[in-house]
Amino acid sequence: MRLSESNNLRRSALRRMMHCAWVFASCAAFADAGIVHAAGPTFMLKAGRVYTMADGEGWVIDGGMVLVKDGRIAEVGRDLTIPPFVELIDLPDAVVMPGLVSAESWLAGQNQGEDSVGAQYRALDAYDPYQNYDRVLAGGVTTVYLNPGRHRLVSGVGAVVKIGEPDPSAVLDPATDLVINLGEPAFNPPAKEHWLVPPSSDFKIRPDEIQRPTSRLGQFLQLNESFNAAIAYGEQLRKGKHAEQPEFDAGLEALAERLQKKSVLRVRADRATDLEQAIEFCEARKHAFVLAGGREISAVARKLQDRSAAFVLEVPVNPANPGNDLGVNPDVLGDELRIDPALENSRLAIVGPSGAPHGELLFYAAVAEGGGLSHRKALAAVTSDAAKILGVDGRVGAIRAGLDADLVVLNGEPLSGSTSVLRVYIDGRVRFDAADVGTDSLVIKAGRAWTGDRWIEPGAVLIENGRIVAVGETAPQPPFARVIDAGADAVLTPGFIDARGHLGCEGDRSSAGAEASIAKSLYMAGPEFDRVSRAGVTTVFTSAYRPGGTAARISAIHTAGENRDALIVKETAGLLMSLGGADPEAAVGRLKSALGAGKKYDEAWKKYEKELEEYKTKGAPKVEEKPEPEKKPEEEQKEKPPEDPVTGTWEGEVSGAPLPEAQGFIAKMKLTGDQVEGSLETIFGGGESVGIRGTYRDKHLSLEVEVDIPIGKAMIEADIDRPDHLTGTLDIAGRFQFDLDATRTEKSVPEIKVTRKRKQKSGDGPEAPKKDEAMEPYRDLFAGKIALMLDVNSRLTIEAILPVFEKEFTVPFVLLNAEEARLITDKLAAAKVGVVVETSPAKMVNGREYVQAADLSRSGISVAFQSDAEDGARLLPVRVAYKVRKGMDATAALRALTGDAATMMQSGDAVGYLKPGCRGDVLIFNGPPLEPATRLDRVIIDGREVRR
Amino acid sequence: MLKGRSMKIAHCGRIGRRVSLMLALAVSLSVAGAADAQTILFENARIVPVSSKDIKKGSVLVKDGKIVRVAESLEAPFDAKVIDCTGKTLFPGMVDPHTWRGMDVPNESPPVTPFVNVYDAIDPSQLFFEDSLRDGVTSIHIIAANDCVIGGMSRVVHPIGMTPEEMTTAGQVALKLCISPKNGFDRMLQMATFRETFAKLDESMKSLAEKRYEDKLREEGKDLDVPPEEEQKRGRELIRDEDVDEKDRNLLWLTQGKIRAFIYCGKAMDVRPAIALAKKHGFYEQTVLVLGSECFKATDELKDARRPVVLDANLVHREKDPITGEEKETFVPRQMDRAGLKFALQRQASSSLGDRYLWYQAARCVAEGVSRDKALKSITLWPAEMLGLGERLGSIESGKDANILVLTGDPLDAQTWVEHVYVQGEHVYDREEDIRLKKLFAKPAEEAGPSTSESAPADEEKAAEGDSKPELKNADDQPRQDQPRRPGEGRRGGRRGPGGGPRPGPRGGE
Repeated sequence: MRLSESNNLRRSALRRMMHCAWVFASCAAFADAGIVHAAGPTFMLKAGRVYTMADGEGWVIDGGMVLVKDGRIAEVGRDLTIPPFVELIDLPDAVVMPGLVSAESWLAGQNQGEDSVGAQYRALDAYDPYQNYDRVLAGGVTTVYLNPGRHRLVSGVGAVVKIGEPDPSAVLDPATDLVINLGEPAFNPPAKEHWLVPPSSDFKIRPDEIQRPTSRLGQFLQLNESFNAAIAYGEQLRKGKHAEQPEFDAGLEALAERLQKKSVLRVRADRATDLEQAIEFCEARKHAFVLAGGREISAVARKLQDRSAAFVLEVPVNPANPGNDLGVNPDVLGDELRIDPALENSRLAIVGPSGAPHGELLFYAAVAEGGGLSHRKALAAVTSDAAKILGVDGRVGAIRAGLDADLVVLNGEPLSGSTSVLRVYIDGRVRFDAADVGTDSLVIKAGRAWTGDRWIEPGAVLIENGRIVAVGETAPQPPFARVIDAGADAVLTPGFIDARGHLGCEGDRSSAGAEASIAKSLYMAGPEFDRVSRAGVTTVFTSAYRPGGTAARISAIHTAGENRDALIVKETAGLLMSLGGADPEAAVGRLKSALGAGKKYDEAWKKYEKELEEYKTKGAPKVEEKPEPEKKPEEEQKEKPPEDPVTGTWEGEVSGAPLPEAQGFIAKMKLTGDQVEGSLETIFGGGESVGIRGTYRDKHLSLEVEVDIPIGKAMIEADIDRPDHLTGTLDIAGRFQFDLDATRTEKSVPEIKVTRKRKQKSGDGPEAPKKDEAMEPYRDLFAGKIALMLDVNSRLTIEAILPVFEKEFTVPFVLLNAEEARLITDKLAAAKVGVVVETSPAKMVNGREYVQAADLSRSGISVAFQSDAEDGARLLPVRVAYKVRKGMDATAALRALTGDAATMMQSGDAVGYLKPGCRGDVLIFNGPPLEPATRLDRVIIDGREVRR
Repeated sequence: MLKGRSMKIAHCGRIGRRVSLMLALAVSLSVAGAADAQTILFENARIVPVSSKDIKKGSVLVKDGKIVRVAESLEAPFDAKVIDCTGKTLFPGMVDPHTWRGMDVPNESPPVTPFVNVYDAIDPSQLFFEDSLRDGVTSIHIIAANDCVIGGMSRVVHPIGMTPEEMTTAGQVALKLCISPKNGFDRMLQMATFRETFAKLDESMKSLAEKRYEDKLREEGKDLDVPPEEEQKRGRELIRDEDVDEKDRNLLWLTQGKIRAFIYCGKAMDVRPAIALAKKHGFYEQTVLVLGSECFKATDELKDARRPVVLDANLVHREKDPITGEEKETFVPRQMDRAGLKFALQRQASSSLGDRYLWYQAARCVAEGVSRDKALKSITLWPAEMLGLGERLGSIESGKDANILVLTGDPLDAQTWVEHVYVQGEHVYDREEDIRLKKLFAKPAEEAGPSTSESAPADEEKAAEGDSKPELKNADDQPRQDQPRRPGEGRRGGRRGPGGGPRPGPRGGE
């Protein structure tokens, strides 16, 4: 699924040339300056809604625009002017927000050092920017904090990076904070070993060093001890001779550096008591701090209300974990999250629990909203506030001029459950696109929907791979689906159907028989198709203007599609027979003879198919082999006819350009009158002989070789230039010519053996009847797959033909025009015959305005509309609207344009309905359809938008 | 170095009690004519010198272990042994730029051991050396494997000699540094260990510098006249090699650019830290990057760094997309070639046949679009240059060591055999005398002789080395005499016998 983008770049040739010149000039300028400038892209993004996450007003802009220049955000607002040469990416259904900032992650693993206080470990060292982070990006997360581990009292130094970007500029902060972990996970660090290398008397054997903390008692004792030692170490380093300075210690050295720089302390704990002690510790040491933890963060926040503090809250829900029981212990806290109102006023970042997927940040924020956090705060907690806590709000976390163009395009409201990410930009470059994931899902929602036979309120449709998958008041929303939410006033209908048109004839008004199909000659949708599709007519039952012979073939085609396959709905969708001018008897006669021939053809094929089926399951039916009567060539040769110039055996060669070397052949021929019959060996492979047949006149042989070549015929044209010698050419399908040369070796009448290849490839199975394109549609007709459309007008004719379909030929049929149907509405209704009504919108009958469609539908006859035109079909909706104005029921008219037309033509499984299995053709109206004041907003054909 | 010694055997046994057997074999194996030929003229040979254009028919004159002249035709000096090479191809002995094989253990246990030397771990009796000779690899850079932070001092050897000393082509070549974490380490610990190691070196140098400067002042009878920083700066220049602690010496040499650094990067993410480390500590110009197959993703960084690289023997990188599940293959040497980098191929002990042969890997490179010239250089001249031995090894040109292979055909042809190997002018391998090949090609009847009891343990040793070859597992699967095989392939036939089935071997630090 592609996001449909309307590229508003004015495409005049002159502008394009100017653009090229400008690009070239700027490249040249860079080249001159010797700078390889990897500036990001420039474009304008317009979306249905933009969450800028700015402080104060304007944090959400409906219909907002974002100008991205060289990978940075240049301007944000509504109705921005698009600078020249800047591409507009218009996403009216999408929501755009800043790239999400995850204030926690385990992408760096945890340091494997044994130090309980290990300030020397840097999370950035273990982060792999080359890995594929599509799963994280697919959640819209563009910036992550790297945690060096939760398993040590001081596990190291955290960092902030843009995910999956190897460039050094993607490291937003290599040393964000010093990570302190309180509580059980950091207890009992391993004993510290000392390598004795090389072992010598200079190095004393030291026992392994037991480290703190082993319990809560030890953690702040150890912290204070280490911090004090580091401060002392740092002070001593700065004075005096090297030899008098303290012995080098990597841990102290790194810690001293952190403390000297007044690094932020990030303290993580599960218990409120630990967190409260941590606050005292950090404030006493005058370090800025961030408190991270689970639920108990809330309790601490309440106490800290008057002081500004930052929190990283882990929601207690891991969507990737199967359920687990909490047991009967009443002290164990459940998974419920209650967020204290105090957190509203503090800086807060929301993250998932330990081990939960990094990409589901929006889900965690939604859980937090459910826990009582305000919508805006929940969004800020994964964007702007998280960036502020990490100290990278100067680069990311909001859509604001000057920040990096890290943007997320969503298919709905960010915190709605089924919303997913369609595209992710980092520095203006697309780093994830749902289209690349190979999904093609479209969800359309509106206040009301007409399914083709009933109304549903509200209405939602899911289209996957061009087909409708689900319809209902709600529809499933698969990940990465594109969503069109048309609003409460909008109405969805199936694409409209023109039950009889001529689209695709390209103005050719000549007649055509049933062997010709318009669908076959279709190769692409021309401009006349566009006009029709944009009007909302998505399917046309098209045929030649006039049936040639007994009937014309009707094809059902789409009015938009990328290729021929997409354009064809049903290559054979009906048969059109004109009985208009004939008197009733003649009409019935014609109808019966046509249907009779059709039935015969159909039965021949049915028989063959049955035989074939039997043959396939049981094998060949046993036929007694008749021994061939032995031929007696001697006897034949007794009646030796007089010698002639052709009869006998000829040996020769074929040579010429396409053949690598000359090829020999043997021909046996027999002349009777001027007719020549015979066989030819070896040229056409396998030593088999094939028949030759032709004439001999004036020393010239003209022979057709009876061989199956898909491209045409094989002909021999040769002259007997001297007795017993002929020379000429072998011509294959007029494309290849070979020289041919032969000499007669024997003059006796040859015995001609011809191995004819059967056309049927299935060996000795049953033989198929001959295929007749003109008769093929009858097979579908008798199978009930298509309908017979009868162009009749007079009441008598209609009455005469109805019985034909009652008993003799029970095939689906509809009436076309049926001018006098009004006189026999009860009969037609009883016979359940559909009528494709005449084109005239309203006419005077008996001095009153008469609308055929309105009248018939009122009488319970299903009707459909025809355009009897090519791109004139574009006016169909307007004309139907006029009929509604003239008294036709609006729903009946809608039914006639959609479900009834399709059902009548036996195509209700493909078009005309919003139901699973049908083609994804949907119209979106901004109000009740067929009201003159209603606008057709969008047209979707096969799940692709053709009009907006 | 070999010259003048009567050392002329191919190693074919194990240490210990089999040494006596080996010596006995050595006598019977002695290669004809090698002992007294000081001057050799190879005549009428097709020469692939690597450094210049192929010579269709030419001569190479070797004197005192060095190549003296290469020309289309040369007059034979009076004392020269003339070898007619009609129909044969001369090719320089191949250079393996990076291997831990040949040692009894690939790595020490402690993470930082710059003070150890592979000299102490080389086992001349290993079959690996015999294989190398048969495969035409005459120079092998033996270096600590990748399971360390800083490994020991490496050495370039030729696969002939009874002691590491005899085998040495060049000592004190390089230190191994690994950016990819050692077993039990992660990258945070790995990098912290690097920082600590170099900081400690700096600390001890500062102390030493102060001491040296003060010693000097004392000798001159002066008082301390400068602040500590200046004192350390001046003192540094006074440090002599013998002042430096043995523990620090190799590392100091590294930071002074006196020896090379082979930095192992298992993943693309390791490339940038490797380059930063080398630049920070002053051995950037002496750095060779040993790359895992994924490292091609860091091609931009490698291109900027312009350091030579040693590639993984499994030349192809494969990766699956986490969402779509599509698999993508990348042929790494082609990427390096496009980036304009000098790359070398290495052998690896793996079950995949191709990983074991330099010529095969080079041939694959050609198949994937690398020019033949570069493919040949990647197994000869370029690795030699990476080891700082570009003036001695890697091509057939005058002045270089006479490490010459006599091949039956083109070096990249699968049908080609190594017929003779000359190392520093000495004839050290003759296919005719290769008993393992002989055994391979022996008729089945001869095989069931009394020698089986001896061959079985030898087979086990080979199996333990990781040589497994599926097509010869079956004892009925007799190779035909008339079917040419590469030496290495053939060699495995010698393993056939009771209980000598192939087994997967240890992979060491690779």
